[in-house]
Amino acid sequence: MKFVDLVLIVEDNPIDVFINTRVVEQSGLSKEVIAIQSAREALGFLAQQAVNSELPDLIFLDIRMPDIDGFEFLQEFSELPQRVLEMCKIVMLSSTIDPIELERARQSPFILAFIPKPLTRDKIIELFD
Amino acid sequence: MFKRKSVNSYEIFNMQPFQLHLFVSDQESSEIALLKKVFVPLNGAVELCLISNNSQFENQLLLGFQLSIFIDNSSFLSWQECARTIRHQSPQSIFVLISDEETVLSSITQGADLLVRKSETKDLPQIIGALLKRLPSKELNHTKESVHSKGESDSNLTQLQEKNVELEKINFELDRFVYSASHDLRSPLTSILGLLNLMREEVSDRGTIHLVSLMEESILKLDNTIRDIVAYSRNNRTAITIEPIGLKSLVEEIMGNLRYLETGEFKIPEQIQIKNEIVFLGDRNRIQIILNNLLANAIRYRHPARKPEVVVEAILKGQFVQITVKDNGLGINDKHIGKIFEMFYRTSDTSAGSGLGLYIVRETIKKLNGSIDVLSQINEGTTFTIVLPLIYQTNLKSDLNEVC
Repeated sequence: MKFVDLVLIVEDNPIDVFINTRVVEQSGLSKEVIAIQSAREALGFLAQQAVNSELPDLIFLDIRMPDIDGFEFLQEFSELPQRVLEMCKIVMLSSTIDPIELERARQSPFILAFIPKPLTRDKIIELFD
Repeated sequence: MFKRKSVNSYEIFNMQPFQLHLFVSDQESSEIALLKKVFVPLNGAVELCLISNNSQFENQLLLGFQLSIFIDNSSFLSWQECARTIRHQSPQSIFVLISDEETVLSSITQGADLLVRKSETKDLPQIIGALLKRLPSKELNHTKESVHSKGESDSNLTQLQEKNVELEKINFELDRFVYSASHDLRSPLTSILGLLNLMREEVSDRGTIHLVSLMEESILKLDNTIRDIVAYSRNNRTAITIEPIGLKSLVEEIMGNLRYLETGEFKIPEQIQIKNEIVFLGDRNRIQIILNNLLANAIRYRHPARKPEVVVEAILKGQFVQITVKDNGLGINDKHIGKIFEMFYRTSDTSAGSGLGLYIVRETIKKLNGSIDVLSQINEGTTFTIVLPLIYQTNLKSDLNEVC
């Protein structure tokens, strides 16, 4: 059973892209998975899809990335068209144990959940419980 | 892992409505945009006042200042002059300078409480959050001070305060470094755990699956050691911060984290009982470290022959809170029990721990001026009893001794 149509993975580390894509595929969470290895490109993608094209239902967002990090992504995300904000739910996925980063994730109105890496099928199932 | 239940932006500030004064040259800099984004949605918890010319400054002087942020390129006044005037008017206020200036420490002795480099402005919300939490105790110090006569003791105190702020900033930076370094160490480990998890799904050969489990165990052990070192280093450096703690939510949060530490079949939530759901005052981060270690041990050293049961209980006793963690696990042998709080002491080489866990528990409790006792019966179970004071004097002098 598919829960959503499209999942977007925003993650710079190619190994984690591989893991996350494979886990999402195997979990049967989504019809389709795409991964973008830069937060800036991901924002561009969302802006481009914002008008009439398909948007991801769920975004797995890493925190520590070069150029724009996960929190900066969230800031710019908040300025995207309303349709994007309504459609795309964001799950933060990180190996951080820094209480400040965890608190920031908790404070953000756009974060649906925080998942400590690595992503596993059980953690995805738990999301939908 | 957490799932969103409700949004509570006030929590981080833990305070009354608050005025934040921004000294700016133009009203559209990126720093202002960032601060607006952070503070405006707080529905009046923080009021932003922009000051961009002399008459605005003079009007505000009559009303007093709480927290001011001076952005380097505001040109109507030098920041030193501005800090001096504000200090004179509102001695308890906090003055933050945002600048490209490299001379961090000299700016602090010239009257700024904190210098934030422009490249670091994205950390401003956290820095300010941390500063605001400290404000009440800072005010307390000042009322105490006013009893003293002016003169020498006053200037000594100012020097001490400046030194304290300096050290706090250095500690804050060290703290950032520890987390950065630990993240760089831990993220390849989480990748390996992710790959092993995929491998487990993709192979069916029992021998290979056994090897995967052993690898996972080793990685988790290494990860625990890194976490322990981070916890130990934090406990030594960071000041005590007191806030109301709900025992239930704290224990639930810890259990949420612990379920990923162990790959075993142990289903945690059903086995942990929280006897009474009180709220008490304490240092949340440190109490979390203590309970995290004790609960992880209770799970790790469960008895194979029976259903594990862990009971956490907190009782208020005058100015103290007594927390007990009781399990029905393996118990600790008499010959080990005197040594379990020693650094690197492990009862066997095969145990999953780093030998740091209970040492960190003891050091953390020491820092909080508390005590810990252990009662154990081999094959029956273990009870740890912790007593912590509810009231801490945030005395400037003792704080200084701690960080020096």
